[in-house]
Amino acid sequence: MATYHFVVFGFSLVAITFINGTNSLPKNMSSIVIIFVSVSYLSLLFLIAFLAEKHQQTFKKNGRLWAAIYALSVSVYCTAWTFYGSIGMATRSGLEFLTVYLGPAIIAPLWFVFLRKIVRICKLQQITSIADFISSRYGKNLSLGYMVTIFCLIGIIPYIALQLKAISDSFNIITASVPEVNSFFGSIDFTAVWVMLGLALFTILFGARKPETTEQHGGLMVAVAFESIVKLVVFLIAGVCLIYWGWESPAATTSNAAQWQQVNQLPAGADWVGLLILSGFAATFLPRQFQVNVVETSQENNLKHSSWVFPLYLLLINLMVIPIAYMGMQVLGKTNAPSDYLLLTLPLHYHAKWLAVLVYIGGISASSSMVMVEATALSTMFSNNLVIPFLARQASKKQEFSNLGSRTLLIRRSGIVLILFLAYLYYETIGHYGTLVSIGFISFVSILQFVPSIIGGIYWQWGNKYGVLSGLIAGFMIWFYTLILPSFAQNGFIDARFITEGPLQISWLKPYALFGLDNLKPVTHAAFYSLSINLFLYVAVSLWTEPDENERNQAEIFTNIFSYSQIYETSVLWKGTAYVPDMEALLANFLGETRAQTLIQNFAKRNKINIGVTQKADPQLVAFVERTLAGIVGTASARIMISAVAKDEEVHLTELMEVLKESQKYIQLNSELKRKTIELRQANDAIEKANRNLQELDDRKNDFLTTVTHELRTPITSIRAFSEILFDNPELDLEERQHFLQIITRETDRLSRLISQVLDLEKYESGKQELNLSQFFITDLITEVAQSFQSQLLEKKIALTIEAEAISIMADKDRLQQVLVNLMGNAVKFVEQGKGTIHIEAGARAPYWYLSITDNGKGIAPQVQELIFEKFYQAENQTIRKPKGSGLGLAICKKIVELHHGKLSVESAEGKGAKFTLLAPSAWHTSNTHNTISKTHLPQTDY
Amino acid sequence: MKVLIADDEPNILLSLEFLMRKNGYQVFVARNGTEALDIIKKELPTVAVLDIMMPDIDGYEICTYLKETPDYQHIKVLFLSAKAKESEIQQGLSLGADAYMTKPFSTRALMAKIEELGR
Repeated sequence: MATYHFVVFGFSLVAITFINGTNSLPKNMSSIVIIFVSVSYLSLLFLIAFLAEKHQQTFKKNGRLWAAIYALSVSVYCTAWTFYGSIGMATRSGLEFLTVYLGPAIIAPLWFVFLRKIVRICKLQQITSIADFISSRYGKNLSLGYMVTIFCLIGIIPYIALQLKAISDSFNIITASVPEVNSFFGSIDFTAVWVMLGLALFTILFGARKPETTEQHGGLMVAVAFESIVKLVVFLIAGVCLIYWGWESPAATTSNAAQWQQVNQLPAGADWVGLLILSGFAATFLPRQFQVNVVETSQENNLKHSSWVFPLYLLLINLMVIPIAYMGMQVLGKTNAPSDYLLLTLPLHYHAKWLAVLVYIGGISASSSMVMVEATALSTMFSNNLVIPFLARQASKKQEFSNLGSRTLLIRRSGIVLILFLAYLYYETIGHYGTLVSIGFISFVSILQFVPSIIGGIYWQWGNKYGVLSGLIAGFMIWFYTLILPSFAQNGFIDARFITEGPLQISWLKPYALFGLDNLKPVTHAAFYSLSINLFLYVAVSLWTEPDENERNQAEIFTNIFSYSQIYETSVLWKGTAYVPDMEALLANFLGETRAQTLIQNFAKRNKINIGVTQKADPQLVAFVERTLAGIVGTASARIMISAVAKDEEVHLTELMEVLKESQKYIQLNSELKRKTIELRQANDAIEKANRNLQELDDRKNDFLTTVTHELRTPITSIRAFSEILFDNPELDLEERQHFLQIITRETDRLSRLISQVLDLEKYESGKQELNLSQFFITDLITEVAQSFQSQLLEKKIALTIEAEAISIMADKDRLQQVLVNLMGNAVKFVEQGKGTIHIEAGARAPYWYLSITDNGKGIAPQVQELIFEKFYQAENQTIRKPKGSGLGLAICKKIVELHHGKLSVESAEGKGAKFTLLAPSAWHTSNTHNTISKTHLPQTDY
Repeated sequence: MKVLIADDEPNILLSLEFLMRKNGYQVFVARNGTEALDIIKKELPTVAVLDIMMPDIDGYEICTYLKETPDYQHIKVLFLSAKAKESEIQQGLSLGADAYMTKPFSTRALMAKIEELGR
């Protein structure tokens, strides 16, 4: 809270000063105000980081917010170099400045391809820096770690110095003060000292809080994301204002073609390509970029967001560079204001103090975020790959690591102070001279040296540590010779003729034109030679030498991480003897007793390892402890410590492959199991479905029973009613009495018919009914049935025609007769009195025989043609149930035909009669000898 | 007294018609729901004996219509149905029917019920 009040107070004070200051016209501001502004801004930043750190968990729950913070934090790439330097570079060499942003914009979309692999490796192996990554890949090699760390420090410290220079310069410009004020301290720049101390404090508080470096720095990331927004917004505001004012000022009206050409000149093709590559890799592997892209990333998917947010950010922040540069040259002309700070000097020129202060804050945000993240990353390397491995080696002789544990944080914090101090020293001694951009490029080229070993490390299994060592050393020597020594020469530390004539006047050794290659810019020249020789040595030496087992194992894991990542935790990548208490004690040195115990117990529980009984540590557990330690002290130191307390045995590559294969098999089994489970579920579903079908059948059975009961009740009702009437009314006349008795008889018949039909149907449906097959002529069957209907036909005056081939069929004659009788009965029933015709047709239609009955009755509506074969179906819209039927006839016919493997179908249209066709296979009928096609016309009724 | 009998079974109609006539009622015979409604509107019978399962309009619908229409509310409804389950009887009565008898029925009991309803 105190901080918060302080911030508010600071801001209000600044605001008051501005209001008072608008009328008076001193061009620059008092240092007090600017110091106040600086302190207020840093306090605000502190508050943001503090709150974010405190509420980290709440933040992280909001996945999209957190992803946005990460995507923004990648813009830590844009430092004071971008904020101030781009405009300066544009005034000097035109569009060349764009390469620094085009390179990253081109490579960012590829991050999801190769950086994702690195993220996966780092998460699984608890790797937290480039030095750790390279050392870990090439056999957890100590000297590689030392070397990469030292090279990083040498390469990056000037870059940090550049930020200090930017803040200090901008302060001096805005306050118009001259650095060397205090004669007592010589030429010490107090601004830079204070800036350095402030940033060191901030970095220690938010970048080195816990011993585990794998723990992400939420507060720091939020602060960096916030600063990314500040620097972008400020730059855009400044750009819009300056262009607007410049437009109105008379100086701009006279267009200056030469100056316009100056800012729009294109670099040479080779330089262009070289700078693109250089900056693309810098945006990926600079320690601070590695920190935000890999170490701080909680999910690989974050890379997807940053791969478009970052290029977009770069586009926006570069939008105004050329117009401002042109404007600046127009308005200020060739004044002696350093062109690197046009963004600051232009507002001062227009007396827009508020804008100058805003730009100043933007500059601080650009510089400070870089310094903090860079210092965090470098201090991790400094402690985990330089100091701790050294101490661990000493300590491992005594097997005593407890001192080390308590010192881890201290070492990292001292590292931060040391790094910033070295940066300050660099700034004081050399840094005053170069431009912002030239210092930055020197760092870029140094980082480029790591590219072969990193990219080769994840794609080329045969790259080994000897290749890396020789490549790196050669690369750095060339870097030193072609960039650092000349800068010394320029600053007068060594003879300037070193550049112009070469050492000892050997012209082909001129640092900017090695072997006579003199048409490149110094940076591209250095990058070309260092990278190509580095790459050549890496490949050549790797091919010439043999790596040891440990390194080969790591190479296998790194290059094939995607196939191993699932099984990594449970795979045994360690062999030997170790004891649980030793492991626990080792971890406790760094994490404290309780945390160490919980970690080990949780791991054991998760992987079902019994740690209680033997005290002997499971290899999985040892591997786990090593990884956890690696997250605290780096992979190489972790290796040393584990070796000290456990008896290691070498794991051969074949063994490793075996273990990994085993684990893969296990995963396959697992997926097999999953598949079986799915199959089981499917079977279960099928059973459930069958059950439902059964239930449906049951329901239908119930419906059937209900209907049958109802159908039985109807005749019984009539029988009872008439019986009672006859009983109660002895006085009825004979005619009436006989009528009623006749009804009773008919209803009784109906009842018994119904009962036998129900029983029939039940037999057919249950499959109990067997066919009594015999060979007979179909014509015989037709004749018999026709004769049995003779009286009804005569009575209703129906004309019957028959057209049948005398084919012999094998069938159950009685059953077929039943079908035919039923169909005939229906036809007779539905034709009109006196106008009816019925036509029977039969014959062979290979490989079937058929029989059809066509009537000219009222027909059947198409929508019910299927339904009439259902039990108890009574055609709809039938207002009168005149023609009597049980409702079972057609259902029984269909069953009988089906028992003959045939099909009973109907063709009909309403009012146009109906044609029932029986079609059955002739496979059963033995003789196909239809001697004649007999046209029988039975009974010839002419009404 | 005017009595309507509606049933799709000709023999049942025949027996009922005989019984009503013998008791001196004026009988109207309907072979389906449509005919029944026509007769009701024209003759306003005192008692309507309705079968439930008829091909076009079922007894339930006719009963509901009668009991919901003020002009016909006074007509006594007697369901005469083969539906004999307790739940089915309850359903018929819940529609406002005055009596429910199952098939096969006792002619005496039926006549007594109609007599009672007509009073």
